[in-house]
Amino acid sequence: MKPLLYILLLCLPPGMLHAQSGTIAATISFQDPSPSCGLYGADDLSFGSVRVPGSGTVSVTVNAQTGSVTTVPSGHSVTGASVGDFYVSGSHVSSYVIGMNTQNMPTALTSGSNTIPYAASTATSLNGTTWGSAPTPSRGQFYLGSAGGTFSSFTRHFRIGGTISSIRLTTPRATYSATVTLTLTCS
Amino acid sequence: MSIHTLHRCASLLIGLAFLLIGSVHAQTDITASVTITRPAASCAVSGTQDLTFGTFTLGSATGSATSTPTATASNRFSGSPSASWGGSEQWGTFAVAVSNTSTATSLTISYPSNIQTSGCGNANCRITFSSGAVANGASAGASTFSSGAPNISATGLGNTTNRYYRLGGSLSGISSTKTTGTYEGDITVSVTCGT
Repeated sequence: MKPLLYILLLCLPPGMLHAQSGTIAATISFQDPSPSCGLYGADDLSFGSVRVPGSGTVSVTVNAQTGSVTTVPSGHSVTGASVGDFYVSGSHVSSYVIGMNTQNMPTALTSGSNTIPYAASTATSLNGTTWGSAPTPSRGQFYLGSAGGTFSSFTRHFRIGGTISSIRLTTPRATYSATVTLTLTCS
Repeated sequence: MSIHTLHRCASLLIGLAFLLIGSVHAQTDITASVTITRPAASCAVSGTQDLTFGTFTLGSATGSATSTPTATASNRFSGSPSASWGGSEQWGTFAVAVSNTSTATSLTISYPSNIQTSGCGNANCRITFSSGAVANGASAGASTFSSGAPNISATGLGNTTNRYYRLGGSLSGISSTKTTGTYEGDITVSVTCGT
């Protein structure tokens, strides 16, 4: 007989810890507000009703800075004249351009084929109270302005006046006009 | 004792000595063994999805943004009326699977103290992560999640338990001085399970 030895081994591992981790990103995105602006409160410039003189010529001036109406010769009858005005306002704007649909301001008011010479003048103000002269519009640009940039707002007021001249007895009775279309671009 | 008896005894002794000598050289051992193990305990994090607060348009005042893991997304910004939230908020999510353990699983979530833009060098490109929030549910698509992050109870050998979590939090100090761009920080989720 051959002896047999059976050995049973029960192998149990000691207590162990298992760990695993993961990473989750937390994100947020910020952007600056977009510039916004508008052109508001446009009132037409009017030289009113001008009575033609019995002799000589008359000129009428609407002062852009003061809004006052004067004539040469002085004291000529003008009724209903008023300065033209508008203002621009916006937020988050660094610069803006008030453009014109013409290269320059009109040099005449027209009625059909008849014309009255016109010389424009402009004024500007930050508060609508204290006015100063504005740069002469040219090259399709009425005004180029700067503002406070992001997180600020701005307002600027404008007036348009000028002088019509060479009104005489033979000037045809009619309503004379000229139109300039203004556009505002902000950035 | 007779001659016959002495002869029989002598023969028996000789035979026994022969048998003893022969059996010593024929002996050997055979060992049979078996190893028995238990299935290893495991716990794993999976299904991670980033937490995003969305895109905000900065305003002039200071405010904060909050992502609440138990509520659906709405306007996440408060404190600055001139700021606006562009949407796209998404909870952070992850799942934990625990198998073959008879001890509770420990869940640890580490939130960053702040998140920042890439290459940030000052406070203007850093946002404070003021607090974290977590909710849990029995399935990823559950309609409601409960607040808090309970550890997973032991389920024993041969069993696997899945648990699903949502992460939120609050960001404070959002102001117009902050650099525009994407701010990012890491939330670390760790699970530990024992046998």
